[in-house]
Amino acid sequence: MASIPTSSSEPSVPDSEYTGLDRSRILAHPQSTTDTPTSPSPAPSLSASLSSFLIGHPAGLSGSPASPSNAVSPSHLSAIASLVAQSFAPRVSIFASNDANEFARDKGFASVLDLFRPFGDVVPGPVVVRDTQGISTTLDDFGIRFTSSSLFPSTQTSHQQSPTKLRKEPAAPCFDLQDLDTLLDIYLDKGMRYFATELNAPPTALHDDLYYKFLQRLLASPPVSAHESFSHPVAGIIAISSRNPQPIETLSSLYKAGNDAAVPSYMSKDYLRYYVLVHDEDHSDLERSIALFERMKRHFGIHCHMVRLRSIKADLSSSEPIALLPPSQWISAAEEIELLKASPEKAERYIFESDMQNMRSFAHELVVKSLVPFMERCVATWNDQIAASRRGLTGRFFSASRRLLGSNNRGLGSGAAHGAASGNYDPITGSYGFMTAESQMRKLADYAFMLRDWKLAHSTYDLLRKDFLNDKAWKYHAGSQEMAAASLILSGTPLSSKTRADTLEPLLDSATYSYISRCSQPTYALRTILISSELLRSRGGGAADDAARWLMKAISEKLMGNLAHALIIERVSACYSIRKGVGSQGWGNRRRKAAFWQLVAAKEWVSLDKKQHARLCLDEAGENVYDALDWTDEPGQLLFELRHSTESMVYDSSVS
Amino acid sequence: MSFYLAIIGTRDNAVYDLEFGTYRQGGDGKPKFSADMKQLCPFIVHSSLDIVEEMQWNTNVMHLKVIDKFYNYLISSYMTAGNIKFLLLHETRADDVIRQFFVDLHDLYVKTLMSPFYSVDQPITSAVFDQRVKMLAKKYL
Repeated sequence: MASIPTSSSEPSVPDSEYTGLDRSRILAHPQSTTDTPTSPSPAPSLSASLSSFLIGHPAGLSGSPASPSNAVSPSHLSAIASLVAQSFAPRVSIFASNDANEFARDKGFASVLDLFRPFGDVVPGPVVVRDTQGISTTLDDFGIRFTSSSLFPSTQTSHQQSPTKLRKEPAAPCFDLQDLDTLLDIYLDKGMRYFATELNAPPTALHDDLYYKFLQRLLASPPVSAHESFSHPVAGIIAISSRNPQPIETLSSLYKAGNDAAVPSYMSKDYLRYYVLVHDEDHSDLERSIALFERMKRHFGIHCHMVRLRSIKADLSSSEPIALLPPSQWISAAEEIELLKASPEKAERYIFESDMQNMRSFAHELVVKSLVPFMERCVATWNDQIAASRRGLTGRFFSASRRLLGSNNRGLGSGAAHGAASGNYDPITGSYGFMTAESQMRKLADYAFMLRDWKLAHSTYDLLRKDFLNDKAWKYHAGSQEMAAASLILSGTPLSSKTRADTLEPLLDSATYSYISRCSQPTYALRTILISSELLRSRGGGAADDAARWLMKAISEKLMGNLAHALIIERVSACYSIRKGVGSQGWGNRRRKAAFWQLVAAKEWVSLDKKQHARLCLDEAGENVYDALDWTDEPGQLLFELRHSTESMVYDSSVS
Repeated sequence: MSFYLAIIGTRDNAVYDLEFGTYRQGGDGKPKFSADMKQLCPFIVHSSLDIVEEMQWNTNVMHLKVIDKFYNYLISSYMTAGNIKFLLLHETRADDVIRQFFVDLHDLYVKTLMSPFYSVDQPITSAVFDQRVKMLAKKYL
């Protein structure tokens, strides 16, 4: 499956935005300016190269509703779909040698991870992905997430614990509610203009920006969990620097350390290894590094890369062109709080222009030449070996007979002790081993999701959820339903009200029920609801009504903290306001509903003492609907009272 | 159980509204809305107009039944031929009783409308009307 042409020409990325120190220009979108490279590696096919020219960036943050009848091809997703797709980016864990970390510290970064991380957000240049049908799609917002290698062996200790104790250990939540609320507090105090992507954005766009920011933090760092493989590494980067006296040995020992690390039984160590040599431009000899790199290639194969970086710290006094390196957009809430609290001098980090380019081409190369082909290969293999046999007629017989046999067993009382018919599920740890068919199918589906082959992902999740239901693997069951729902909406199939009621509703319903009641993982339930309601909203029409209803469910289940609660109430209003109605009268619009939920949100904001924000909601609701009605502004009425209490808070757009 | 009744004119204006409680199950006819809910009631009912306006062209009956809900509260609606909307916020589903209530209310409304001193969309302030609506509420709800 060598679909990606190997070319020696390094893709050059234009970096005009980073020249000089014009801070306002640098601060605005660090990643979105990385347009199509002028000379990407030779185009794989005419259609793909054409489409990369024709298709610009995904629409702005206005959440433009895609018409339901149009199949949305993955390359021009709406802003929210792109956000969701990016949040489930492949994880690449970094194993760095001590000298490489020291090198990064010399540059003013905490570690190699810290240095690499911002470059994973959006890989510069188009990424061509081929699905199992052989159709290639060009993605221009593909990202990867660099993670620490020390994230997952946290279960090292739990191996020594007794299995029963392991079971009682509460699973990690999907995100930290408390942190998220704290962060939201900081956001709101800074005022909404702070997050505006455009200078004169209308208020609705401001709401979107704030909410997407919140959603991004919520989705940023799910913990490693048994039931989904998104946070399991897809690749591992083994990095050394040119300062290392024994480079090949260090690489081997890092590889071994990664391989011998105690990981939970559900996690496979069978991921791509990528070897990186960081060449120190200031202190090391280039000739020697090149020679070393050749040796690396001989030893470890083609998955190697050499990055040439300066080792001295870049600051404003440097004579060479430097650029501001913004932190990764996918840092967790806790990390962002840390950043916002830090002094601006400390938070701003600079990097040499040349380093920036080299790092970009490194990220591009890693993704285009190694990571994506590797994932495509995995998907193809698993699809042929495991999933295809299940999908066919024989597969159906097999699963049917398995079900019958399973029930027989239970009837006879022989296998009833464990209650698991298939035997693959381990009810004690609540997980499947990484070699089991179920676990690999889940990985297949997750990889397909990450590569945005929504149809394959959906059909696999759909197969899986039946298996998990048979095994009573509730968390897995909930997870597969959650993703089945998301991939169904993302796949762009028309969502008639019947599809929504018959397919989507039960999926989401049982996913949230399982997460909340059976697994007590309310954070995952919240994630399920927020993702799918936001995707539904982007479809517009009746789907937006459903989106609002799901948000209301999240509100009535009290799944979140106080500020998030108010924010989600406000979001209900946005779900309604997206529905425009038809004809000159706007038949079927929801402007009154939208205004009403703005009012409810404002009430909530006032009670949380965020009067400025409340004022914004009130003004908007008034302008759209209530100002035209005389009964709303009588003394004693809610609107009047709220307006009175926020009187002093006339919204000042200059607050930052 | 508590109820909130609103008669809404053609320009989303309030013609008449009333809060009341049930006399059934030992109720005293007093509304028992929480303070928050009391404030929100008019706005909830107003927001349901979106749904009413969407529904009214899909059906030829005047009683639209339960059209909307807000947490545990349901909203039933009735359209008169003159585009006046009756909306009732209630807690349990009782379509038949509510239909009878609406039909009698319609009767009362038409009688008011026939008064030469009343024009469409004008708020109804008559104490007699108020009294009669309360009687209806006591009779049916």
